[in-house]
Amino acid sequence: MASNDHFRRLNYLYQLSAWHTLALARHDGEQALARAHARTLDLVAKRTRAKLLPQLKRTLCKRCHRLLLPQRTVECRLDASDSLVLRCRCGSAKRFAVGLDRDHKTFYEKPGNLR
Amino acid sequence: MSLRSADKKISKKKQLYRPILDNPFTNEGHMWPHVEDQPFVWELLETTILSRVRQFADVPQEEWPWDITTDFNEIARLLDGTMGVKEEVILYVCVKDSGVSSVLLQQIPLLCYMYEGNVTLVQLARGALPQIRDAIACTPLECKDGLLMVRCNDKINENFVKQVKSRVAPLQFPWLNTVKYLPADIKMVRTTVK
Repeated sequence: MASNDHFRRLNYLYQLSAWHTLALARHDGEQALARAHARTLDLVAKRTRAKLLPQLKRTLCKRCHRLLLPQRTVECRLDASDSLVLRCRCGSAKRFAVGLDRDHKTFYEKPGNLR
Repeated sequence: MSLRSADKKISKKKQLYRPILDNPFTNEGHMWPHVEDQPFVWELLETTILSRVRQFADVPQEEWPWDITTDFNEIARLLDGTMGVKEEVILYVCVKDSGVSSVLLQQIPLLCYMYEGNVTLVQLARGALPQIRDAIACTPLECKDGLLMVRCNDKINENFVKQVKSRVAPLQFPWLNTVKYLPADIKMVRTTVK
């Protein structure tokens, strides 16, 4: 696969970001290093046009590039309209209207589309 | 071959697979702890709680012989420490049933792992959700998200907790403790090209 190196780089950056979010939580409240890695990940993915699965993208904040980890960086709640709201520490929120169709599956989650 | 059929043949979509990166940590197999004796664990829940909960339909929830909840927000508040409680809990999740959102389910294992107290995460077999809904139908509880949390405080039988815990593997996320690098999980997505 021609783009294997890009994917490996993205994977490495993601794991680095996850580790920094946890390991440096006490010393680095703003998760500067973790966010820098996640931002690089985003830039590399866009530049190389490498695709990321929605399950992976859901764990990254689009505004501040924090890795969304419960208790550390994100708060998840169901709101009055039955939408799942993942609120990042920066204030931005990801909304998933789970109440509309609880059986909804993305194209990638449907059987037969990934191998 | 007619011109039209030749045209059709040219414009026929070709199927191919493109690479796409998966989350190295959210492998379904690793996220949900293994339950050793699924029917026994279900029977325990049914006999201890579900079969008896109907009798307490008219009793205020504070007077029930156990503290149970099915509300996602209440469960999330307890697990992310907003409620400031660190008591032991057992969380039953209907992972295999339809009618449970996959986005919502994705949050549960990590929420449990990050909880400061002890949490036993029990995945239930297919068909558990309708039975839970049926059992709690006449109570104020509503099981919309396939979650049922039992708080292990003084009210609950110790033996019940011990039996459940002995049959469920502990929750593990090795990546949260070590710096071990995991190889890239590249999948191939089915797509078409003209």
